[in-house]
Amino acid sequence: MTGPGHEGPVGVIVSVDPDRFAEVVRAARAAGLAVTGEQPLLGSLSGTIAEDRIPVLEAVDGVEAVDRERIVGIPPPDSPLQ
Amino acid sequence: MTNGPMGRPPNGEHPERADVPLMPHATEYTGRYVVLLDQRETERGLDALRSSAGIASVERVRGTEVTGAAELLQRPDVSVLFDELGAAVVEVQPDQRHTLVTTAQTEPTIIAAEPERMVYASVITEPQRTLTGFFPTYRSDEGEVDRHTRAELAASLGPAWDEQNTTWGQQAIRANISHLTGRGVKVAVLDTGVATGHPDLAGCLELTASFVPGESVEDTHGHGTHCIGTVAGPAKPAHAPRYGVAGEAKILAGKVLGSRGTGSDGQILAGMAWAIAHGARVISMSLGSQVQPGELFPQTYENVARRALQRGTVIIAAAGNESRRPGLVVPVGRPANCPSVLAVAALDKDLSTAFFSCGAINGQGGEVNIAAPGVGVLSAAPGDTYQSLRGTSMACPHAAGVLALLAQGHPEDSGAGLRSRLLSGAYPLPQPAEDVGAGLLQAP
Repeated sequence: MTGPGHEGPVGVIVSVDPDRFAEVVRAARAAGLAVTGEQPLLGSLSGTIAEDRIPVLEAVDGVEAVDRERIVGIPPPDSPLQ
Repeated sequence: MTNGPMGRPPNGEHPERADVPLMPHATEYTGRYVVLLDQRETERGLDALRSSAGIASVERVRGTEVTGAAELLQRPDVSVLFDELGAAVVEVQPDQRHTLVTTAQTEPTIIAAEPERMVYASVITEPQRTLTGFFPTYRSDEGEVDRHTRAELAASLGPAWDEQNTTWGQQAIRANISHLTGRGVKVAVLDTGVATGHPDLAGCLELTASFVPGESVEDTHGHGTHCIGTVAGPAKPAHAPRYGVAGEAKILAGKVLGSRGTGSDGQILAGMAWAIAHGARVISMSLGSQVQPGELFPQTYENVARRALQRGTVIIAAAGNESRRPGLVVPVGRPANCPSVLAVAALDKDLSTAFFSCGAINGQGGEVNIAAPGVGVLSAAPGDTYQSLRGTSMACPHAAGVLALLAQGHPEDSGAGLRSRLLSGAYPLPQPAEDVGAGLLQAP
């Protein structure tokens, strides 16, 4: 169990300045982001971070947006509506 | 059926009515032609029409000369050129109409020619609005009238398509009569992968990759294979009617959804970057998650989509299937709700909005951009077979295929250029834009 105010990590996707990608990724890591995927071409990242650290990540210079990651689902194969 | 423009009646009488009994205002033609000319060389285009089709002598009119123009247009012995518009209303003998159209097609300074129509103020309470559209392209009378008649038939008769040779969806978007094939244009389909051994698809698969940990690109779900078939199934499949839009497009099949149909935003972003790095002009995403009324679009996807557009790649996504019409209309899902991502709604066989198709409940990108066939859609399935499915997931790859045709025809177009070409080519439908956006998807 975790104590109050210290929640488990959540999935996020992050938009960063592609012109200084490596630098911003370093700063995002320092803010607590565990990076699981990075796309320098598009300036995007995916990763996990403690929920209470999201405001810190959002404040990192060069971070443009942070969105909570979602699971995308389509219906099972036998469903007629896809 | 004879639907050609009728002869021009003597002045003062009503023009004859074309024999299109389906609509309250059947299309009526005046017998004249509207010709759009290259504004720098209007005289050359008119000369060509004079010498080939023997059009009546031309009077030039400036925009300020209102009364003069009205009088001139009444005269059967005079053609009128509107100087500022580079457009002329041309009088031509009935037996010379075909020659006029042929001349328009071969003369480079003539941009378009189409039969002039009678226009009515629209009656708001009219239950079935007349389907209208202006296509500044070359069409003979027969083609134009036939196209309208078919669309009107579709709207009034409902699901009465002959699908023996071609699926209704391909017919509705006119892919089967386009001379474009999407040759060489790369289209990424981010989905459940692909049945790599399907005989119809082997030829179109350029590259595959799986972004789902522990799974190969092989599609055991069927969703991705179905979508890829709609984009690039062959023009003449051996064992099915034609079901693919752009038979010579090159597919980049990115697996971002696992065999059970789920995936994460991170996997999708990875697939998008892969697609762009490999030169995709189109990224088709028949996927999404539901959003609440009032919910904002995800900024990360929006930034990515903007950067993709700057690189010449158009991203389209399924609007979502959570509506239950009539009664419940659920907002366009995510990421289709991003302003820079095109949202595709689904139409039923009678061109009505599919009961499940999401609508423009939210602003700021939450609009529907275009609508495409999404019910009773036949396409490829794993196991070298076929299946019929419905969903906005099925509508989306129709639009991806048309974008491939457009990109083939206009390889120099920017991402924004392709996007606007797609939307401006749509065929207006009577439903509100909230449900169908610009209207029915049309192949160029």
